[in-house]
Amino acid sequence: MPTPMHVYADIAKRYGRIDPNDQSAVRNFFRQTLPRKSESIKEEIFKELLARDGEAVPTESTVLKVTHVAPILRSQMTGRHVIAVENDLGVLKKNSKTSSVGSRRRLVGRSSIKGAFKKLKGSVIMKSADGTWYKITEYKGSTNSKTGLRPLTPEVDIGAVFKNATLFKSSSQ
Amino acid sequence: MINSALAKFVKSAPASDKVKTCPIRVRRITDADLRWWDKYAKPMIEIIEPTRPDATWDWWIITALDAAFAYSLRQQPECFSIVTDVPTSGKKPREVICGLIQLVGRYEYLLDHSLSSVYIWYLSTTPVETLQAFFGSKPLPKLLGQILLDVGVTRSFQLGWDGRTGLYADDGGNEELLDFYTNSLRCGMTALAKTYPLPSVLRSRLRPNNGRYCYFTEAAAENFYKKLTPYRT
Repeated sequence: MPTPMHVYADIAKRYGRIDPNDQSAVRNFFRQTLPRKSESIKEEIFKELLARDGEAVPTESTVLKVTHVAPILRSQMTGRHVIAVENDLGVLKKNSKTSSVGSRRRLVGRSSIKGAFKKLKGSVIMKSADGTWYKITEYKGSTNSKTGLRPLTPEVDIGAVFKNATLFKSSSQ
Repeated sequence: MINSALAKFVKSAPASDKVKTCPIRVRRITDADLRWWDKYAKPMIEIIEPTRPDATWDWWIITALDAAFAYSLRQQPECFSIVTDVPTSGKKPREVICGLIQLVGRYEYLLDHSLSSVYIWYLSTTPVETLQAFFGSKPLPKLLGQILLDVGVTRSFQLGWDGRTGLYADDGGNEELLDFYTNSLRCGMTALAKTYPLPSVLRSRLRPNNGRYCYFTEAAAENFYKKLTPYRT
């Protein structure tokens, strides 16, 4: 046991066009709508629920698995702070650069993080010194005209650098 | 061998004072049980043990599978609650839910996929703190985890599967939960070897066998069932 609750929300979204974040709507789907579905659909749903038994419960950022990271960047993710630009498809832009402590390299090259949000509609992931992954889903600040970001140093507080950004702590690598 | 027609759920639980027993009932989950759970048990789990695997479970959704699939699927999903009564100053004792369980009545046996078994899908015990709030200084019912597991084993005997039962020890329960199921002094299940293939319905590229699937063999199930026999009358 068990099949995590997000699987139910996912199924309600796919089979009932339900907002997966609306728990009462998901409840209603399973309690009211599902019994009226055809037997074949019900069987399909039930099998999926069973097949996803034991699936890990995702946090906001467990969708950002290392396997999603392009090898070219993964190999660089050894610095204490790493920034990667990722679009919605999980494909990293190859011209993204990393910033490791002491190198003072610019965080991101031609594809700025700001651009990632505004143009690529992507997201930014970051691995902090303790190995924790962060996903930044919103960025409004601008401290550098070119990149919209300042270089990270060990002393820089992540939350301060990404002022107005939303950070989700990841529970997995 | 336990006769399928004679297999019975437990009717009492040992009490925390180790002297008395607490009468309990195993019944199909009702909406009233779910309302009780949402009001008294779930909030306590969220406060006291937020990392418990069942802290995020929505039993309204889980139990909906019963109604949706009861008459259509051969897998036979079923939900039960364990209920006890707490005496009150009034005439009527107050019902307290001790735990909830969702199982699949017909499922491929983890050890031999050609055989059927019961598969326990969800299992939640009421937090001790919630029970204490209702019982006060009275002794609390104990062994609730085992009694819930026994519901699955008993159903397996009743359905003619000779006690064969399987489950997945939730990752959130860590080694402690796995030990609970596999320790011979507690439940006595066997963890399925990581190299062993999973039944077809469980095969998923997302989640390979990670050694947390547990099963009761016929003999182990009978042994487990007999341990609780004193509480069945």
